[in-house]
Amino acid sequence: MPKITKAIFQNVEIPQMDCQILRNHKVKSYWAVVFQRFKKNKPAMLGVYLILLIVIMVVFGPVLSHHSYSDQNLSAANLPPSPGYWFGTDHLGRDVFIRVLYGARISLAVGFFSSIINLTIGVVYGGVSGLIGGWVDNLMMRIVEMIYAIPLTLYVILLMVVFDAGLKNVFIAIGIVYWLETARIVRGQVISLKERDYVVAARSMGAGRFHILFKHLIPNCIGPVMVTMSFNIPAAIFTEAFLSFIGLGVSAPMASLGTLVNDALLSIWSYPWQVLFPSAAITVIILAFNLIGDGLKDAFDPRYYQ
Amino acid sequence: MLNFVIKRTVSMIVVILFIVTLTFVLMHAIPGSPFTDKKKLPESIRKNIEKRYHLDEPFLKQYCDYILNMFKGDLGLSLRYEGRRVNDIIKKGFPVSATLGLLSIFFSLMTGIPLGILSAIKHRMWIDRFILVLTTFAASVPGFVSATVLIYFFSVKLGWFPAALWGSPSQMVLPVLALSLYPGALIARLMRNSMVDVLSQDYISVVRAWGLPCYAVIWKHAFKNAVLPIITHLGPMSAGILTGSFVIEKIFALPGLGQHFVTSIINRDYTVIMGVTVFYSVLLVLMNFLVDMVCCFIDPRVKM
Repeated sequence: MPKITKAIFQNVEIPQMDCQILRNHKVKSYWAVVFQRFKKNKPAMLGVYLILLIVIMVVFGPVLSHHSYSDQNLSAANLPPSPGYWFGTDHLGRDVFIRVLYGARISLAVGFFSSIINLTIGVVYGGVSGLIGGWVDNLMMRIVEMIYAIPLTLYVILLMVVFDAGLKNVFIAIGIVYWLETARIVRGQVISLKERDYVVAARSMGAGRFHILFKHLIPNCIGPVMVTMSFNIPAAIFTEAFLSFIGLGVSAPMASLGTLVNDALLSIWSYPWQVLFPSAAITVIILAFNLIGDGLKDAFDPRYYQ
Repeated sequence: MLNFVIKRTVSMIVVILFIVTLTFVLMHAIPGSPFTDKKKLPESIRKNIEKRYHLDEPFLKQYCDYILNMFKGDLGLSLRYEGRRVNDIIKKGFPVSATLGLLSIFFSLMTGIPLGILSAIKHRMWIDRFILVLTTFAASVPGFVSATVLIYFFSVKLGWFPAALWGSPSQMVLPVLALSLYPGALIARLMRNSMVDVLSQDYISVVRAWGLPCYAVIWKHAFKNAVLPIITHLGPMSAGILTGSFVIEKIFALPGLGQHFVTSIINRDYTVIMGVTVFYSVLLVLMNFLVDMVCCFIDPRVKM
């Protein structure tokens, strides 16, 4: 039997638990995780930068330019793009660049305001339906199902015929029609959340139904609602462009991108740039919002890491 | 099954009644009679015209008459074109629109489904990325933009296809292309996602383990399940094609119903607007009904 001496032992490197790292590793909040995932999504970030760029151009562009969207100058009609007129001029000699900027302003405003309207309607409708439950919920959802079967764009058109043209009416017509998806999602969320312990706790402390709805349930629906909203915005812009293209949008001399394309369509053979620039603008705006929407969907989707 | 059909039929009838009522109320909510703004007609003549279109009767009577006539298949007279019936307008315009719409649905299915499958098979490879970029872009182009771009390149620059009118197959190419761009892109994305989901399921792993070649796995086992979302999407898709056709018909000057509808909006021809809206809505509700039936028929898992 060999003698046990110190020599037969040797130092082994002890795998050290790096406690420092563990201690420094903060548990990230849900929002931080979502934000991080979103930031990693390159197309989505491209969308964000594009929208930022467009917003800056739309806000400051008209201030810096010496043309205005309604200035007519017949001696400078139908000019091709040049340093003086970046996007050329239209048949009345108006600067197409400025008109495109104003059109983009209208598009963004429509996207923003009408999605706020449909967000409000959808959240309240879905929230109330999910919270009350029972036959009220049943009835309210039947109504939603019924409206789902109707071709909604037709009713936006009909509302525009009733309301008459004008920017405010476009907001309202689009806003009060497309809230179904939001309502459905909020209802589903509310139903799954309302049995949670924290809601029970709030109720046991005597919180009222609507206090619970607005303070506890709806704030927890923000994720899915943001995703729906990010798809509602481009849809609203799409619809507005469609409306003004068929002659139901804002009234002259204001012009949205749809109107610009429609007006310039007759002269596509001779002055194609008058069609090209507004078309490109609307496509870029919708594309940017779609990219953001896709990114948000991926960021909120729990299946993302699978 | 029968129970389901009856339930759906009843709800469909309710929806149609709801649509007619909504449309009727909206059209009658417009302040003033349709003839008050017309170049200062003498009072008696205006009265006569209103009598002809039954506008002097009480609201409820007008409503009941409208519903009754609608179930008899009569949608009334045009207010702007003397003696023209809404039915005639639909009869004349609808075949063109239906051809355009069906061709577009067909074309977008034929391009969207293969693209989606290809994308799913090559999941996360460069070709998948490429298709994703392409479809995201295509889904962001409004109909009037794609139509003008197509006209610009294929009619103005290259002169391959005519830029307007309807009849010969070469005149159909551009409108159908322009109209199916958006739904085609949506279908491709839908197909990709559902195919990726299906391909990750256990039964697919099993048939793969058997050693079945890729195409057999896709066609024999995955396709049937993956295509179901596309079929359910056909309802909303035809609604999109329909509204898209308004723009496309206007740009390409097609003599379709969408064109008439847009003209009637500009003319404020209320009976035509109302009639065409009701016609289209009923058509789409029927389409949804049909899609539901098909789904329930081919997929036993659908709750009846």
